[in-house]
Amino acid sequence: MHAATFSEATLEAMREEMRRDATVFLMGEDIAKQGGIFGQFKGLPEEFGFERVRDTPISEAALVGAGVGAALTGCRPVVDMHFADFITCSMDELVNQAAKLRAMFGEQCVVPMTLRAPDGITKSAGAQHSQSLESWFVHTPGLEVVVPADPEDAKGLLKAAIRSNNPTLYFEHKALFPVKGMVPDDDDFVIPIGKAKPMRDGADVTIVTYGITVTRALEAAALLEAEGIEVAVLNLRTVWPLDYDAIADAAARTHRIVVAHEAVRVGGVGAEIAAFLGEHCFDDLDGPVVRLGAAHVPVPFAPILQEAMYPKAPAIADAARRLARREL
Amino acid sequence: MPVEVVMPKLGLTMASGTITRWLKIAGDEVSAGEPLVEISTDKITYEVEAPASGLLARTLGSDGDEFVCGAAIATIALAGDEAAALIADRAPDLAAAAGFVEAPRRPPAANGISGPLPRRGTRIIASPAARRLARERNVRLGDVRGTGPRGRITLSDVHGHSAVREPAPAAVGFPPELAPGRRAIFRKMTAVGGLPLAQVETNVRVDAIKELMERRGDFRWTAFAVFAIARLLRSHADLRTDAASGAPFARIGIGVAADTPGGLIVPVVHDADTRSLAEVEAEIVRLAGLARAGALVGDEVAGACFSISNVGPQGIERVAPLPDPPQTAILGIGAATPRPAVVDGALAIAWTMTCVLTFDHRFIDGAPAARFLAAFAAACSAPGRLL
Repeated sequence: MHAATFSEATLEAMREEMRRDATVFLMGEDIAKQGGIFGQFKGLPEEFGFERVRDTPISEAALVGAGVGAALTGCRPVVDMHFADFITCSMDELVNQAAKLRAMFGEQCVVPMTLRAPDGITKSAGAQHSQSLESWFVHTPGLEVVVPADPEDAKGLLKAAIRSNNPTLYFEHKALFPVKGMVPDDDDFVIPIGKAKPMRDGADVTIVTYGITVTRALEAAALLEAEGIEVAVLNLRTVWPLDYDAIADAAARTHRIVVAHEAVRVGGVGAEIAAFLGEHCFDDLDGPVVRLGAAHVPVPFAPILQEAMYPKAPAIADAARRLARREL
Repeated sequence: MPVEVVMPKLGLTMASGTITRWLKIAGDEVSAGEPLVEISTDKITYEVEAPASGLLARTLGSDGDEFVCGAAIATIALAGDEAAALIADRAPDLAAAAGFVEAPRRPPAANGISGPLPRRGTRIIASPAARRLARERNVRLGDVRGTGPRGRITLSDVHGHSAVREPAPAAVGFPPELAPGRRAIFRKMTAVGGLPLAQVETNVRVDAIKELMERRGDFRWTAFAVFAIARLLRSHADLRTDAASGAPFARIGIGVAADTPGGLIVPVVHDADTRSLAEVEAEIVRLAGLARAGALVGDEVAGACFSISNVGPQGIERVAPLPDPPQTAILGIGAATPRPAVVDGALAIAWTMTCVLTFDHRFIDGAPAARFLAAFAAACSAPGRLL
């Protein structure tokens, strides 16, 4: 194990996969010359050249369209979206082409493309640069959706996404890039897509979460530990395919579930999890499934409003505490 | 207008009933008077009949679910009603049949998505996990105090309840092969097992009763015992203590243990202290007939303050039965028969019977129990005083 920031962990994953497989290449806006706005591509052009680390014009439709074409013809493209919000400009290429082709052509082709999508709320980036849009793609059959929570996830999930034969969205929270953590040294450290990771155990409540909210849930669990409430935290890592077994196990163990994410609460991944628990784990539940997510409003620019609109550790702790005390 | 079927209140003390078995399912055509569902209380099982003819539009709850009396358990759509609109809980099935619902990755829970949301305020509110635990431990939800929001019964309430009421976890569940009809007795006798019971016993001279019985011909031994005990209990209030409240039962109903093809049942002669001896006899005959037919309902098996068990008809000398909580005393009566006895200082033959009074010593002391038994013995030797 060694220490690395989230950003460095993604860079390690890129470097290792590009060395391992000559068909892996990278394209995006301002990634080669500038090295990425979070430094997440620094040094790659020097090692792999501008053929495999390509700057492109500002056209997400062209970028993803080219990625789909390259993937269909035998490459493993990694396409950087700069901001996840800009995926909207390439929805047809992603949703109607990348997601569908494998099924429409009867498995005669695959689309092993990775779409890197920096997302989430940070530093008053405003309504058009702060969204968490994963649930749209969970709702689109044919795509895989992974959301790393820490440097270990960042490396293991990016390598898994690149090696996957399906188009995979890799949502990396912008506020996580500078976060430090321990990363395995193994060049073949790959986190299986579709498997959740228990972050801590506890008997009273499980917080089911993913991405940056894992950190907030762990803070909440630490707050509650001091009050004698034992909180388990389940890091989903992948939001499609969902690890339903791990979610069901959590319900069977703690009987009380909080689902938390930074994405808008209405119609979010938490809704799918709550519905699953109601349908298949009904007899295990001792209280209502509590969903926490962002308010159903465009992310405000005003810092005070921005900070008030998504669930942070105190709000998560409050929900878990009330559920554990059977106030909900 | 659709007609609602509710959990019936079969007796004063009945607060809730449990669905044992649905005899019809939603979608069935039913006729008025036709049995819809079998329910059970802690004493009896009973078939609820359709109050009207029509389409059984929906049923609430499944086997083992408990409803308070008066709560809706089914709806019958009459001719002209939009039955389909009432069958709201069919929607998920239709969606599944149409293929819109993904095949479950895990086998659905046994009670998965059947059953619509119950009406608030009538059904006992309990979390799904608490309901399952209560089923497993055979805890009646109606007995558990809910401490969650809106009084919801949660897991810890059921855990707490069974920890208090059921000292040995092994005593909680029924043996797997136990006939359902024995469950009430099994539960009661398990509860009685931990009580501090004491006994007083005496031989009672009954020549005078025998003579009276032959002269009048309108009563038998059991009727006399019920008649006499009921009158004595007016003044011997200790012997009719209610274990649930600690105070005496207000009304004097006497339970009479009866053997039936379905096992022991204890019908109750209510207000026995106000009935004549012949009326008590007639009521015992009526109840015995219903007991043999398994047709006793509600108050006919509830509300006794004291019980008796008479093994005289079998010719048995002595019986020491156990009280039926919340009653705190019971009298066991053996066979009345001619026996050697000392009469006026000489050996003679007298009609006697052996009576054993068993009582819960938490509420009743030996001396009042002895006084009561002595008073009963005196009533037997001089029945005219009571008549």
